[in-house]
Amino acid sequence: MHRPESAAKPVESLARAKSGDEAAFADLVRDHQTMVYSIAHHFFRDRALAEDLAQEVFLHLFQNLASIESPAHLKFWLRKVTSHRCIDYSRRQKMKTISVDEAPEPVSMFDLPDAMMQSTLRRIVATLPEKARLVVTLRYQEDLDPTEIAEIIDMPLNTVKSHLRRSLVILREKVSRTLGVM
Amino acid sequence: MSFDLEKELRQALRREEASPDFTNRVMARIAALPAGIKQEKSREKTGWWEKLAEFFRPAPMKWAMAGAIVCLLMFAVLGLHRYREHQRAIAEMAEGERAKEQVMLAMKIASAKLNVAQKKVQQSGERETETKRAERQ
Repeated sequence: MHRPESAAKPVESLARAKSGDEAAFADLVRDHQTMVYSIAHHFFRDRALAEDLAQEVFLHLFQNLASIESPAHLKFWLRKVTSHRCIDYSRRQKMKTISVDEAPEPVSMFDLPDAMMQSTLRRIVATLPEKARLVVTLRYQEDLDPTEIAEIIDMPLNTVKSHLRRSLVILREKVSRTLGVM
Repeated sequence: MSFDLEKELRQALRREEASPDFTNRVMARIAALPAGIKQEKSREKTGWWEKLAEFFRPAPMKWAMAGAIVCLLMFAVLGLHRYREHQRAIAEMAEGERAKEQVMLAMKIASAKLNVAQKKVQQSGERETETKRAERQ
């Protein structure tokens, strides 16, 4: 579980991990595993695959720890490596995307439980093309602005913005078609 | 009914916890890494030459490096040998050309002298004929 003392001293934690302290490295993993795992899980909608990918990201971090300059750089590095790995995995495995036809049947908009709305939204996000899905995940999971997203996934800022715009249009349309809300 | 899509997306895509033993599994995979790779991580790489040296540090790379150096040396020796042979052939060809030119020059001189001699013989023959003709008259 998350240990507050490691979060309080991220610089020391990073320095100790860089000097070869494996317990400090474990703290770094604990501090960032939710972020890395969630990006992968929202991208793939597959727990096992997301965990496997997240583990590989941390193994890669372990081997490249010397190049990490600060806690902020660590966060950027993890987001970048995770995003690129998601795209690579997806291309390698030619992931089957869920078509909108597989989305749930329309239900009444009245008393629509939040859980159902969110589950439906996650499923609809999973139908987006891979880069758009990643942009949406980084925007709404990590609350990053388009400039930060562009840096992380090495994409022109205008392309990020257009992915976001188009994705929101598609999502709105699919949500209204599926759940009947506007 | 209207709804705030962006707010709903933030809710839907909020971070999720990985499995409780996630960290332990990562650390177990790290423990299973070969020693060379683990040591590599803790070493600070400051310059490009150190990074280059790191690249050749694993045992298979050492053998590959040794093989590459041996191949390089063999190519260098072979190349030097071929170069010297080529230079020798060029020198021999130049010498041959020079000898050929000398022979040609000698032949030209001989030919010129022969022409002079032939003219002299011809002139003396003509003179002799004219003398005989004068005596007859």
